[in-house]
Amino acid sequence: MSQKHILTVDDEAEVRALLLEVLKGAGYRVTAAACASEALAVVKSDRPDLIITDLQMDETDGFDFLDSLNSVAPGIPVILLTGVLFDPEMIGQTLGGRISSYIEKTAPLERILREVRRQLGN
Amino acid sequence: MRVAFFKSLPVRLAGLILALGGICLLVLTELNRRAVERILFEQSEVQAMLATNAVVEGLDGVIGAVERLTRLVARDIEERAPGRAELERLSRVVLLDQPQIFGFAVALDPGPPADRVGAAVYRSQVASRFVAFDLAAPERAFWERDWYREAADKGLSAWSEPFFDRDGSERNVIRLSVPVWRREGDKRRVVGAVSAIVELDWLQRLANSNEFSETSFTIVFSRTGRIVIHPRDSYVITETIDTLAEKTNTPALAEMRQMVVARKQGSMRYEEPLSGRRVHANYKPARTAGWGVIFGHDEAEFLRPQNEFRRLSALYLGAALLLLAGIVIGVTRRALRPLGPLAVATDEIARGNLDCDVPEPRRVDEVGRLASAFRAMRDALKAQHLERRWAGQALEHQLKYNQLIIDSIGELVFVLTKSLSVTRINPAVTRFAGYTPADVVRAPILRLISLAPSATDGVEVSLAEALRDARSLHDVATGLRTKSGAVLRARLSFAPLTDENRIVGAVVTLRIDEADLPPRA
Repeated sequence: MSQKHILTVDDEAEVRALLLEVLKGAGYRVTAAACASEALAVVKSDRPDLIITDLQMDETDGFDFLDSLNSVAPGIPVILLTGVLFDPEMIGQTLGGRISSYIEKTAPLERILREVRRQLGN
Repeated sequence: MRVAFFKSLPVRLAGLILALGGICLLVLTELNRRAVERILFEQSEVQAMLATNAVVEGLDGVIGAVERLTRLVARDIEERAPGRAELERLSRVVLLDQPQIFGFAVALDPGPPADRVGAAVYRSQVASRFVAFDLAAPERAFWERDWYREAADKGLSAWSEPFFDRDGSERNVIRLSVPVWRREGDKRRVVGAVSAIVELDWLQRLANSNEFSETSFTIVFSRTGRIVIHPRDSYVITETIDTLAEKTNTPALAEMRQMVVARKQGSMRYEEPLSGRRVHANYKPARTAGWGVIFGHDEAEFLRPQNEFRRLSALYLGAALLLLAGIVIGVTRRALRPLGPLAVATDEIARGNLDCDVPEPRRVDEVGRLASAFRAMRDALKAQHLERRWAGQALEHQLKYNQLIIDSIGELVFVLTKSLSVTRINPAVTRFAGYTPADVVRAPILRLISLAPSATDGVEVSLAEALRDARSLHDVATGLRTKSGAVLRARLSFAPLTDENRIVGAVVTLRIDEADLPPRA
């Protein structure tokens, strides 16, 4: 059985590295992108089964990225990792239609993994 | 890190098996030795008793036959007056008929010296030849000889003590003398004597003909205890049982003689001081001549088969133990083989390398379960480690952004302890009042600010009371003393910090009145 492909998008290298290690350890194929343009390039060349993204990015914010993603490759489930600058309730109200779920970055990895498995149906 | 060979578990297990097996074998061997030894001793006791009886029977047979024949000859010539030729012929016939008799003598002294007649015949050194003597010849004068006098004077048959027959057979002998009686009217008187000589060597051969064992020996002693037969020729005649017991420091010999004198039969075990060997001896009195027989053998000889069996058993069992130890080492090493890589992996994990290789559990035994559990532990540790890293970066992220938010606030922010001491300020405090964190941290907030009485009721506002009551204050007129000593007018907000209904501190924010703000560049 082929491995599920997950794309992680975050401007912080430590977060990218940790997600890469955890998801690979859980048996997924993982691609990490540091910015929206890099992420969109990956989506076009190797469509992922799931995207985990932050809202904060260097060149743009996550809202624009989600809009672009919706037009380039609609239907890909997205887990939003929100940092301290964002109010989870507000995220739920404003982005509820464009993302599959959102998790605060302070949540444990185990919870993120559980959500990944849920989104990927395994 | 490799474990030293002799400290490794397989070798220790093998050593334990060897030690326990060795102890068990020693105990079993000792119990077996005692049981077999008892059986062998009982068997040897019976055999030795039979052999002793055979020796005694043989001696009794020989001596009894000599006694019967000698008495027969004595009676035969009682009422006759045979000449020397007849006596010599008679003696030859006896020697021809009785191989156990070495010499035979007949002498008569009926009255007048002229009627004395006597003849003695000895076996010659040359086979089947005899040597004859005229006992009445002056140089032999039988009537003066001990053997004749003993019988003639006492009128009794008697066996002599063993002696060296000088001027006769020239060898160690014993002699039986039987008186010859003759009726004269109503009386009987001794008129002569018949004597038979038995060679001790012959008796010895007879005794030794009973092959019992390699180490068996026979001691025959006379009525007085004089040695008649002994494996060591030098003791014969020269020693008695009692002197021998003393000389060889073997009191058991003297004890056995006492038992024989009391006409008792039995056995005794003793140690020969000179050789150190354990001897089992049976003793029994002979029926004739008052002799005693001691028949002994070396106990070790009967234990020889057992000792040989024990030696072979020890060899085989030792080999079996070594083989078992080898098998244990092999099997244990095979069983414990994954433990080595597990130990290496443990070292790696202890050094922080959670990506180290842990042997895959290929078996379902305890070691396989250990390897499986170890992998699970490694994975759990790795997951925990990742979680800690994740939590660490999340916390760092949160703190950084919290600080950014606080720093971005334009009002002056003082974070206070429960005793209203300053623990933290934002950059606005430095910008407007000139205080750095080093200036104010741990300082009481009331040293920096002074609260004006309430505008509504004129009551002086107390931060301590507000904190105690967990009450917020808003827009309270306040004076802020700057580092340079100036007082700026400001509006104060006070918010207690609570954590699960517990007051942990407070936050004071000051908004400087527009009039006191420094002019903008």
